[in-house]
Amino acid sequence: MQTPLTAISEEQILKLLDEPRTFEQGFRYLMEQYQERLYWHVRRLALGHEDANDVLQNCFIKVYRGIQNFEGKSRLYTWLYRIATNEAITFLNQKKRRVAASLEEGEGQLARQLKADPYFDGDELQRRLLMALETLPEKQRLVFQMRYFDELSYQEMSDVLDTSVGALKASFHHAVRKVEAYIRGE
Amino acid sequence: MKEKSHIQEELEGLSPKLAQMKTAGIQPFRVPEGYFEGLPGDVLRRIRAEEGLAREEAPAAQPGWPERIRQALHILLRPRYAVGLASAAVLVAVGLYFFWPARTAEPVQPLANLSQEEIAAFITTNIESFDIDMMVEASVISNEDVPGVDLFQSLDDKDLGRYLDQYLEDMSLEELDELL
Repeated sequence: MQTPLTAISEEQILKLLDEPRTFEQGFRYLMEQYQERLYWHVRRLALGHEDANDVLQNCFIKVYRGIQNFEGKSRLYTWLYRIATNEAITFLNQKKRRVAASLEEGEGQLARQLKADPYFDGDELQRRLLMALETLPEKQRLVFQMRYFDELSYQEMSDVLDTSVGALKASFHHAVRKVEAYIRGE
Repeated sequence: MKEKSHIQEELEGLSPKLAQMKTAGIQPFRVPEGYFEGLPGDVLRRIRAEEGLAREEAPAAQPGWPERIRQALHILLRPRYAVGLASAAVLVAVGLYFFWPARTAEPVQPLANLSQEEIAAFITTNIESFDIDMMVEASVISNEDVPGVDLFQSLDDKDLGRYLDQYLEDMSLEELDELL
């Protein structure tokens, strides 16, 4: 995991972003600090590297132009994570429409995509896990990924998704059972 | 770390299979070599390119109307435009001269063209509008025509006597009978 050359706190980044003279330096630190975590979150949703790269770059451009809207009510990472999630959802919806328009069957299309991806080294079980996620409703998929892969607490998930902790727990439990059933081939 | 163990416990309760897969923790995805080192630079380059493009596409600030008039005059007064503009102005002036609708008001006729009867009829009709002093000066009215105005006020007795003699001599017998 890459970290900035100089360890820098969220407060220091925000202070740099507050001054026009140091804004770009602060923004560079922000990207270096959070890019990997955000990338993997986006990558698991978008699956392909090129798609994930596009989504993440769009996300950072939005952050660059809208950082003044960050009010400090949540952690900076939570705010960034929310923007990345929204950007990824927009991408997935566009992709769904493209797939629907091409009459290509979802699972078959995903299987081919993973097979052709030079940056996917997963085994059959991992491929099945990703295909199981593809069958989940959007919100359930997000909840599963946030908890299972990104290891967010229910409270952090609640901040990002504006959903109650109880509803998120129920959603995660439901998603886990569905994914397991898919992997077992039930 | 605490959250990680919570999640692991939760998963083992829900799905031992998924808990086991998570423990194995094999990352199925890779990124191209040097991707994360280059990403901040790529993003900043894209931002600068988009901002540069936006600046090029943005219309220049609109000048105020005095400046727009000055610019228009500057263009119109260039020789190639000025000659055309002058020619057009001449054509418009000639056109106006020939095609402007004729005035509908009655033309004023010179007094010399009027007959005595027409003049008399005009004076009779408009007598009330005439300036009395002007008429006295022009000797077109007398004290009888304008009651209340004493035309003889400035005459002395001698002049008045001469005037009455002349007046009586000019009167016919019938007129004299009427007066008496």
